Amino acid sequence: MRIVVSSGKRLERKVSLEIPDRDFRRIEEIAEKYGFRIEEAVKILLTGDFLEDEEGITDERLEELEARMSELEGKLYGLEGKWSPLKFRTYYLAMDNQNLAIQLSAMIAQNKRLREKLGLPPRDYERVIEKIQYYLNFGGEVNPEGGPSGRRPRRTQGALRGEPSSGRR
Amino acid sequence: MAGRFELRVSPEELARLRRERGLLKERLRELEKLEETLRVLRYRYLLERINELEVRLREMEEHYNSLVEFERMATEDKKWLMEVRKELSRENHELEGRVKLENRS
Repeated sequence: MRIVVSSGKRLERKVSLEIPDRDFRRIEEIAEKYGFRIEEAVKILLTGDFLEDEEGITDERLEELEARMSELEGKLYGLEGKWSPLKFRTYYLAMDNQNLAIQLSAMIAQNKRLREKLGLPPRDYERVIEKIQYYLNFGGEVNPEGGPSGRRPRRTQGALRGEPSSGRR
Repeated sequence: MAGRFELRVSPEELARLRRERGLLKERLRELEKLEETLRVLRYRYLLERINELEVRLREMEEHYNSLVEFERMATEDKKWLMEVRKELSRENHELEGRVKLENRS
């Protein structure tokens, strides 16, 4: 086998060498075994830029690492597959809540106005306002602990009266 | 196999090979050193890739878990906000009725 080395420029002097076919086949085998292109292997061989195995790397050790890499890649791709539809769902859920927050803002203003007219004491809107602000500030990035309050709403019955929820967060 | 194998290198590398021409024949016989080099390079690559995957997986898991938690919270919030809306709607309707009655009398 003749190895011809060039840089691709015209009128350059190429480097040309003969190598026994048996040796060339061996280079191919080695390159394939370790996942390199034959060009890379030949280049290392010609330049003599060799590395020393100071750690005594065995085939078994490499196989272990290959298996670990495949395992991690599998987990990552699996998670990525589940992540996209979840992100889609949560985004639209947050948008629904944002619409509800807009409606509730108007209803709270109306409620305050009517109560004033009737001389009734104002209600406690604190908790619902926290949630309204949370969803109105929602910009598409999900942060369950974020938002203006990060606190959980109390449950529905008497929510406006600020009664505690039934033991749930 | 009397063929021809073409290797493309940079002009600098070619100049270096020309300078070291006398050593090339000998180097081509150093297949054991080549194997050792490729083994070390593969080992380094695997370690680096595993580390990179572990970091990415950890980040993805954290993000995924926060999304799961957010979905749970937003689902509860939606239900709660709808109930609050219902309650406010009912009360506003009732208060409007009272305001109208007061205005008449």
